[in-house]
Amino acid sequence: MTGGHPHVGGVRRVFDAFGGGDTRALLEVIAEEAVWTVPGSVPVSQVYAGRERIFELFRDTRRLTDQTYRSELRWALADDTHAVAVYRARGRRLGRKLDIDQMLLIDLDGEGRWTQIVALPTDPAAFEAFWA
Amino acid sequence: MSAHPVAASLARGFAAFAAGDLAALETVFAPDATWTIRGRSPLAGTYVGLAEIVAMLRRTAELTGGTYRTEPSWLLADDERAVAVYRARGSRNGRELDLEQSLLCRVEEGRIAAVLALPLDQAVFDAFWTV
Repeated sequence: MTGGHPHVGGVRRVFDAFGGGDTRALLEVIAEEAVWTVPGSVPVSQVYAGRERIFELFRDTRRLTDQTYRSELRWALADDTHAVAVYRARGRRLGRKLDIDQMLLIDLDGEGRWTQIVALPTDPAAFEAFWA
Repeated sequence: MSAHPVAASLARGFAAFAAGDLAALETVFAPDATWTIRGRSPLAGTYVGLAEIVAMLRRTAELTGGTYRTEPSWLLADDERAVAVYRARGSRNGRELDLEQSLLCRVEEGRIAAVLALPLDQAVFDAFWTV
């Protein structure tokens, strides 16, 4: 049963950290050389190469939303080489409101660390309108 | 670790599409399944029921002179949802498509009940399928 794969645990730990939990999970689960891609044409749509750049993205999502940005894990699947997380992304900025499901497509290394991540909104138009 | 039966079913769906055996998709999808494509291309919209889905899949072949191909990279599933990441290739009107795409699926009773198709680059997808 893929839903119970050990690498689902890493996904849960990362989202717990996003929610104010133990941030060591971010260092343990996201590989130092990881590449996080946000597709699209808005300013946050970039290829963030390396954990430091990825953490800048996390800080930017909070800064640009007056700290209102939240991501709540809905479900995750994993096997030995890949994981998927679907989460609710919420936030406010410039009088705009974000409240959509987004998906992370994740490549894992041999130890289950995240090496490549693509963040896909399930409603790209709503995503772009919010972050424009 | 063996794949979940729904992941295996989805893999058979990709194989059936590659073989042009769209009738075989009735074992993969629920009869009233929906398939939603985001964006601004003529393919964008929600297709309701297997007949509309099959017609849309046939259209991808027609619009590309039979060159459209999909090759799954990886699949994950459990009893309630499935995700496929695949490479989509084709050519039309002098344009080439070579793009990773994903399917986010809801599963009911072992069959795909709803699909949301999310290309990893919506702008490239829309440019290819428009005009």
